[in-house]
Amino acid sequence: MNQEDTRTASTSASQACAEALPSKPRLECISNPNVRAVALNAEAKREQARVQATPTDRGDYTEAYSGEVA
Amino acid sequence: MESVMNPTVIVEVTENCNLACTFCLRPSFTPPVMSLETLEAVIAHVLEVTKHRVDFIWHGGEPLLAGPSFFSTIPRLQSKYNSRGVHVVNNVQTNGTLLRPEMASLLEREGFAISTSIQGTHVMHDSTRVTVHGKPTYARIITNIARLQRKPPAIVVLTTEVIRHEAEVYYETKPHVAGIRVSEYFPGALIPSRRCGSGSRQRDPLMPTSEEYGQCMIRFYEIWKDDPEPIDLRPVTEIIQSFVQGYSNSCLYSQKVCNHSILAVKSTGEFYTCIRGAPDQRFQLGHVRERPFLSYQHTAETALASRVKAIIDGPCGTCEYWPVCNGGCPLESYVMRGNLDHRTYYCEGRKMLFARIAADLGLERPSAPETAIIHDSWIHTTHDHAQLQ
Repeated sequence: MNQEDTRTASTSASQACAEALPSKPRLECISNPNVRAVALNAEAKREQARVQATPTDRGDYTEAYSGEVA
Repeated sequence: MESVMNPTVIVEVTENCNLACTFCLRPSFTPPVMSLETLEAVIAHVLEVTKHRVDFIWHGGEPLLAGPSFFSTIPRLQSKYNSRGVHVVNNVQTNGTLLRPEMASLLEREGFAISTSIQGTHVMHDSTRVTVHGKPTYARIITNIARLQRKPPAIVVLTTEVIRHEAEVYYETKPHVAGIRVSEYFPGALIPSRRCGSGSRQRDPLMPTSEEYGQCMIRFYEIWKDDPEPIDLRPVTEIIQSFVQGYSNSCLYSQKVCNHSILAVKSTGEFYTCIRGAPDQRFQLGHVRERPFLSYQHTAETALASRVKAIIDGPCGTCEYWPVCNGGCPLESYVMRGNLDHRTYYCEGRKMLFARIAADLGLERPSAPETAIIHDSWIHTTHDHAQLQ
């Protein structure tokens, strides 16, 4: 299986997952584990912030400045 | 006056630096370090105006040239002026060469987060990040950061020299750091001799084209995806988060964060809208003794509305990636085009990366909505965003 076939198969599996589990968040169907982990973590943070937003709870905001440095 | 901002304040402790990097944004070796009187006034003023939380980024030049006594004074002054219990975060952005044992242990003991710069591979770094006498620095930096209890994140600037060396950069840097930020190359700062905008049409040879940027970032992204033990690769992980959240927390991808969070202070006590704008007087807000932050909170709102209107009336108004891009850095626009109103130079490259990540997230490509709809959704998004601060 070449890289393109792998990508296609992975996408199909992801679509099948989304269709088979319509009640589950779509993010759980992301095929790449690294992408999925970051996406689920972001979703969890968003939910946590929605439920218990506190003034200091801005997570990655520590690095709001994303410009390069000298 | 009621406090309304939770700022990230970039403090240029000194313009002076012990390195002379070939791509330095701010090549200046002016010796004065911020005086303790100015430091005290800056901390008092920032804490006076902060609503709930402030992030200080101690920056330079090379900030550690100020020495241990300067950095041990910072937390004492923050305690002295923090009568309202503001949440204070300190981050030092250092080139890593002066992280000697005494300094490293002081910073870690006082709770400073440390970030450093490693310009790609050993060979790449030693040809670009050199001392003022031309000596290499990679080995010294790696030795110094190995002493830290927590590995620091590192910044790699995406110059033309990094292109097609993405795997070497990622895997050679990874053992030494907690994460890598691959930073968009910012052209020549606001120094007339290096400005490539209205003054000169000559392209900086280290600056990639937008397409080269996009292709390079996609290669970094694919390398990261295939890593069984990945580190935090920014902005890739931030962009994934932005797609999930519907907005970005990062100044290069959010006009609201740019206008409502970022401030800079020179060692003299002059406040600016951003360190990228200093020392251009157009971006100067006033000296700390004038308490400039108080009035800035309101002018920032006007500046935000003006910038958003200008870019949304242009090509960004029909871009499907507007919520996670927001058109880029206004100061980049100023340097490249002579005004604040253009979308980022990296637009096409960003779109390439956004499209690849969106596909992996299973997001369907939305049809381009009408400008008015985008504007409404933007207001809604930023309103929600404000609730989280």
